[in-house]
Amino acid sequence: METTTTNNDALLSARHIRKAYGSFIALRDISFDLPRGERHALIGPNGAGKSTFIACIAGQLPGVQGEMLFAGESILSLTPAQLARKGIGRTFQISRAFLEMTVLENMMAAFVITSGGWAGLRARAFKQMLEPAFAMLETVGMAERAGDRVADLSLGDRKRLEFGMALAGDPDLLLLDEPTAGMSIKERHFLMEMVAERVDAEGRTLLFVEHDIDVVMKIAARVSVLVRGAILAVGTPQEIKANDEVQAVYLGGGH
Amino acid sequence: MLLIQLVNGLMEGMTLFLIASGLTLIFGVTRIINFAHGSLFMLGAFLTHELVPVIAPGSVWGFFAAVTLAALVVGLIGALFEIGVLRRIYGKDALLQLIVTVALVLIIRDLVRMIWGANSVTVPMPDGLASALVIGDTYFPVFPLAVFVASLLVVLAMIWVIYFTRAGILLRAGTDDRGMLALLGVNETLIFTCVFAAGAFLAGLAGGIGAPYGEVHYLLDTSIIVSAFIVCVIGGLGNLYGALAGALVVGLTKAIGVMYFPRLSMVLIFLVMAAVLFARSLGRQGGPAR
Amino acid sequence: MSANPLNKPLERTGQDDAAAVRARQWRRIGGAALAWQWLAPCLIGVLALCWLLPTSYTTLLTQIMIMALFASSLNLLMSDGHMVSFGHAAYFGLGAYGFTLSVAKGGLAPELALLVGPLVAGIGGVLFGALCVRLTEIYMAMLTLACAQITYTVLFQWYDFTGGDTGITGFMTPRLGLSEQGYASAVLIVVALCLLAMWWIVKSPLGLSIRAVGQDRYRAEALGLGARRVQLVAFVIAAFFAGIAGTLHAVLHGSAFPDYAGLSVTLDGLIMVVIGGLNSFAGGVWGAVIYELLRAGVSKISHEWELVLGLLLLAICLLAPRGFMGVVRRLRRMLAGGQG
Repeated sequence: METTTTNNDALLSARHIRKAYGSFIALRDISFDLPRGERHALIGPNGAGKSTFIACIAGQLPGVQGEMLFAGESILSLTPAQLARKGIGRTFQISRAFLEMTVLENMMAAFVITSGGWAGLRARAFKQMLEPAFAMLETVGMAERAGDRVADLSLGDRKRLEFGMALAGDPDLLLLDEPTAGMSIKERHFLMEMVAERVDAEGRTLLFVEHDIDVVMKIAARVSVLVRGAILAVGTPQEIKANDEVQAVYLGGGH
Repeated sequence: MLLIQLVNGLMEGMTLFLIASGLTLIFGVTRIINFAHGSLFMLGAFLTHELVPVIAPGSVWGFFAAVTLAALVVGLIGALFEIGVLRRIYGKDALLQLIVTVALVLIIRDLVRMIWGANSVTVPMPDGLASALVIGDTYFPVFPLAVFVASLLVVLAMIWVIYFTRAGILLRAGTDDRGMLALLGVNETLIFTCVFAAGAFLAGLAGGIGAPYGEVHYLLDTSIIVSAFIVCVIGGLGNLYGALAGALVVGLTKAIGVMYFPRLSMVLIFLVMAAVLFARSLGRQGGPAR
Repeated sequence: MSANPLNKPLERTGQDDAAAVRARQWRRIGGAALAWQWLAPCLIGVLALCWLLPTSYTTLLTQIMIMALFASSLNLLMSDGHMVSFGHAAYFGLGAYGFTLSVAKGGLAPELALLVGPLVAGIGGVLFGALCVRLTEIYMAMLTLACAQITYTVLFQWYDFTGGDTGITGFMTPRLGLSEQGYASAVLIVVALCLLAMWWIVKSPLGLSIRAVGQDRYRAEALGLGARRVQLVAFVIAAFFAGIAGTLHAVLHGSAFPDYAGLSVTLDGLIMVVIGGLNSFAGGVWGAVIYELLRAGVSKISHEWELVLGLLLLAICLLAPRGFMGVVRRLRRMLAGGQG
């Protein structure tokens, strides 16, 4: 694969991305294209750089070298907030929500912020967000817990809430960093099927990090395998499953 | 004139470092900002005032013995406070921890005022150090030089303890990673108490050693704590060498600033601190990768 | 309801219909419904106190109301914005000096200068806040301290303009010529309106954004919120209301001193918030009431006010870390538990 210039057709196109923490190189020369509307999984052993790559896209790391285009626009110099406003929504590996607020307050905050009305003082505009907030909570299955404090929720519940909050901003690109960690197998499949369904129905693009290979096989249209900061292979789930190199390094667990 | 101010600045910088090093050590290990550190400094000064006449008035060794004894007492007070109060609030809201140390500030201040009154007291300079060296046509007062040397010895001893003894290794392990201590099977509580006591000891030492050079009064605590905060912030909280650099910067800025902007030397120091903080905030964005 | 297996119905919400749940939740978030059945009698009671108390106590009452506003502005910054300020007195002092100087040196009519004080504090909040929000946590707190100490030093050292440590006195009749009782009532009205405005802000989308950034700035940024900008807004709001408190204070005494911007005023505010209870809107008010009453009471019987306060603070931190409001909440829960 010869990729020296960025691909303007892809929603996200990265070239020669490199990120080092001191002498430790977390990402080395990653080039990556994500076509619009694709559901793409990022897999790899622990420490391969999956979360670092997600953080690069979301603008959270300083000192990233290379080139990255989102919808044809260079984004490496933008802040997380600017990227979010451009249409990149994300969840975190260790879920982040407003811990001392209730579930509904979290969702309301998500709608207030993504609507751009964060500085608003009017109660009426605020109240109008109650409906969409509740609707989103229903979607992710958290409506019954609307009045509970997030600090009291289980990890799986927090992940679902976070997914709903990421959706509130109507993002073109959804970055989910291990969205199913801490969930039961049944919950995992249900959540990711729901995610896939919504992503398809609303024409979003999905990039997710996932350890559960069954979920990856079912949800992803294409898979990238990241090993020690470099992309080892890209392909459909079947191709990846059949790739000997991947088997050796990752799936087989041997070296 | 400039040279004399340089010497004064170095002396003040070293005493500041003695205070700030304790503050920074305590923060590094326990994550507590000890607002009462200035009060411990003040206590050291008052105890020295009390002890010098008892031990050996006027003599050089008597002065340093009094200072050491006073610092030991202050260290003991620090240990008692850690055991009695701070130990119960580790891991709680940072503001709560802060307010507890503010409570100590208030208690010490009122006790000092009850015991020694609201007027300032003096600590006589030991006779042997009250003279001045004459080099060329400049007079160097001996006392600041002596204080500088004594402080330097303490600093070197401290660095030796921290970098070349088992206790120091444990301490650094605790600063880097608190879970580490438990893994090493070390009694974490004991380390916390020791660090707090050592920090208090250093503050007391600084208070005593510099006492003859200024007025000792019950309002000393806030002015000292503010200076110590600035030193720590310039150097980076929890960073010992940073504190040394910060202390020298503040001491020299103060001493030289007094010559050119006599009224605004404090403002100058705050501006230095604000500039350092601002420079540190530049080019920082984003957040955790995870 | 839906067949969504992720929805685990909880028993206790079984009998509520969706609309009722929504209405209840809305009241908690944005429905700025104040309990007027309690507040109205309280306000009338304080108003009555303004006129019924002996004159010497009226000044104390005024002082309490002013400090309640100051502590509440700090509380907004800390409880909602999760920003600890070691320099909130700067805005109290700027409010006081903004008013005083514009009368004494600018020759402005005192009534007009009332607006200048809070404005100066607000501008100070913009300048210092823009610096401070670039840092986080303890370093931010230290920078607020530096800003306040700079303010204090300038007020203290600039003799020609601020009068230095002798302050500015005698440039107007204290309380704008009102009687003690009249001024107390005026302060009551102003403070009540300010608290109402702050309550309104806390319960608005802006308040939610401020709390969001305070609790997890990275989550807020990932949603598209510029965290620093929100923190700056919170900073300026807090500075503005602290400036109003400072102005009222300067009018009460007809004077201004550098100590108004000193560390001890900041510490007073922090202590009030802790006594009253963090994370509670009313915490600042109750903290100010308790603190000032205690100070007045203890000073009458003993000179060791600070000793008493220090011991009290230790007791609160160790025994009731959530302050007065925490105790109230615990009592209320116990009562409710006893009935149900």
